Amino acid sequence: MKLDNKIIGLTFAGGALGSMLRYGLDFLTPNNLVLLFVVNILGAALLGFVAARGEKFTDAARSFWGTGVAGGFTTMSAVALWFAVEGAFAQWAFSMVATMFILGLLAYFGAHKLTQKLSR
Amino acid sequence: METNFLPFLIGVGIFGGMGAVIRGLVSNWSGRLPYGILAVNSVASLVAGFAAAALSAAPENDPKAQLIYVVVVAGFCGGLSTFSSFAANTVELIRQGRAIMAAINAALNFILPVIAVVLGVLLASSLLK
Repeated sequence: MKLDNKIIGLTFAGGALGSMLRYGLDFLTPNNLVLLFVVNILGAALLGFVAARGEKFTDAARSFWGTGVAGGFTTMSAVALWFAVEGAFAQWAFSMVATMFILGLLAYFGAHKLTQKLSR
Repeated sequence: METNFLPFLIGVGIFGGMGAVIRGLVSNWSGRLPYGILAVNSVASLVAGFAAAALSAAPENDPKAQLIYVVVVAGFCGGLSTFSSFAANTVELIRQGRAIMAAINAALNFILPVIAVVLGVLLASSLLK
């Protein structure tokens, strides 16, 4: 993908939107762990959808929805911060992160497969 | 919800967008593993750990400190780091039949950011004594 000003601008706009949506959801979820599960699983599914669209999505659309919105909506730094601070490196916290990783991979894979199937 | 929600939201958007652009620029760095995503996730975690420790010393109801914390951690670090690309890269490694590399990628994307958070906290503690 050629990184011109349009692609950079769309990545910025998508990243801003995804980050703001995540921040807004923070007030609708009961705690940080639930927020992290929601944003990371939904964001992984969104990227699975974007990736499955392949050539039907232009570079511009992939930059906005994939790198921008899905990337900005999901977060790994908050997962690490949560594990170290709120989870206090406990075994139950590790189990939560492992579960999130597995569900995230399944969400990406499932959305990718479903989109491919529906696009045929 | 913080009073004056809008400045927080706008700050998160601007800094989240900046983080996303930096991530987009380095995300193509890839070899046996997707090093670019691993790097942004680790750097964002280092910054988040630093900010959390640095701003924990500020008074709890200091609005400026709250704004800086939210903009840096939820905005910049959240925009720079990503879970979705990590998931995509790991699934692609599995699809290519490289299950061991996928497991290593998953493990490193957890271990390195956690170590980075700890380093960030230690760095802030030592610099801001």
